Amino acid sequence: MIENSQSIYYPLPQPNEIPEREREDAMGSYLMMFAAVAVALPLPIINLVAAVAYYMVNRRKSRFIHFHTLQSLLSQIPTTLLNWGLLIWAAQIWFFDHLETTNYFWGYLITVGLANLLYFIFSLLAAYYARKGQMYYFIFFGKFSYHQVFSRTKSFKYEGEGDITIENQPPKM
Amino acid sequence: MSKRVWFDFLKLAVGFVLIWVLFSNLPDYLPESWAERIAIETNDLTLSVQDEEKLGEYIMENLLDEFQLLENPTTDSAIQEIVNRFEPIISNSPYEYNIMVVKHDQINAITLPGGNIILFSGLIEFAESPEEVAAVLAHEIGHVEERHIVNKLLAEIGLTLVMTIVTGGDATIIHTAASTLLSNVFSRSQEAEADQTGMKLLVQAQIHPKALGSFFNHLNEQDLDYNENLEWMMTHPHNSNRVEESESFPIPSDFKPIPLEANWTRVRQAI
Repeated sequence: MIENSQSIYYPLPQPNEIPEREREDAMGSYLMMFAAVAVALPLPIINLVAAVAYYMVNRRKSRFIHFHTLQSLLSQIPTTLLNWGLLIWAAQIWFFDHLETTNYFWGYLITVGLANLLYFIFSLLAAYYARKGQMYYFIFFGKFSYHQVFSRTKSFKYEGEGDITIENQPPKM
Repeated sequence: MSKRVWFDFLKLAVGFVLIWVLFSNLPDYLPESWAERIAIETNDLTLSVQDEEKLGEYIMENLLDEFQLLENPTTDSAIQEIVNRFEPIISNSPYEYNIMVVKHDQINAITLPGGNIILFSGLIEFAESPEEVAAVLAHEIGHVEERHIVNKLLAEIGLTLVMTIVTGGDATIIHTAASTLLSNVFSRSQEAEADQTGMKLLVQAQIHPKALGSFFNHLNEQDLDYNENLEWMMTHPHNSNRVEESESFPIPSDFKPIPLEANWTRVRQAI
């Protein structure tokens, strides 16, 4: 994938090419999640809805923003599913198992807690690098998002692209 | 997209499962003293049979303020016949069993610490045979023998309960303990354990264990008033499975059930 990057993928934007506004929007995709998670704690779905909304609103602004919003959105899916699994399991224990828990439940609880912690840490790092106009790749989600956004095989129209109609021509010499 | 990307996903999924399994089995890998420290405090609490009996008496006094004992010779002799069947088997138990019937429409039975069991008249009226009542009684004895009652109280009330016995029965704590037992909620595994112990007892008492399944079948078939009988139904959420368990319970090849002789129609009418 890397060896053929020149031909298969669009060139990556460099920090000096990325305007301040784009960096902030890219960073926002990660930071917005923290506020959404706080709101969504009882029902871990609002954060995903917020991430989808943020992605839909911002994805056409530029490839740099598109990449970060997509990476943020995709990386939230597994943690959201894991949190839902925990919520359903806990509800089952509360309502049907009369608070009888197993080691597998406690193991799951700790592992999901760790997954959330890692997700928070990496999201903060990604937000930091996005603010600096840099790419930051999560395991799997980074490569997947890069392919979706920068692959030349994907046709996606960004704001400003294709809007210029060529009318002014140089004189015929 | 290259396969290496999907391999990353596989690594994430496998990593998650491995960490999950590791944490689930962590107590097995810890040195014993560490594992003991992590164990839930309530597991460390225990009561002697004598203390259980004392606690049972306190709770019974509290409950008998709320319920009226049913004093009826027909019912008493029917219950006594069932107890007589169990007597030779439970005589080796550290617990001394005392069965009472109280006037109440609810289909319920409460087991107190130390071997006191309270049957509700609603349950006797509802049962279609003395064998069904014997099966419920055997199940409740199962809870006592497996120490579910006292462990439940210790888990929910804890050290205060132990102190209550020592200090002679704090009314508030005893009331809380009585309410806990009235809520009648055991875990699924505890119910299954009590079923198994109860069915063993039934077989030894020459009563067919499928009487327990018959009682649950009867519960399932009836269009019960769920508000009134919700507690019982909530406690027994998987009646169908338990019917199957009772029907497939292993019985010796030479097992011959001896029917209980009580005239059940008369017993029900007498209530």
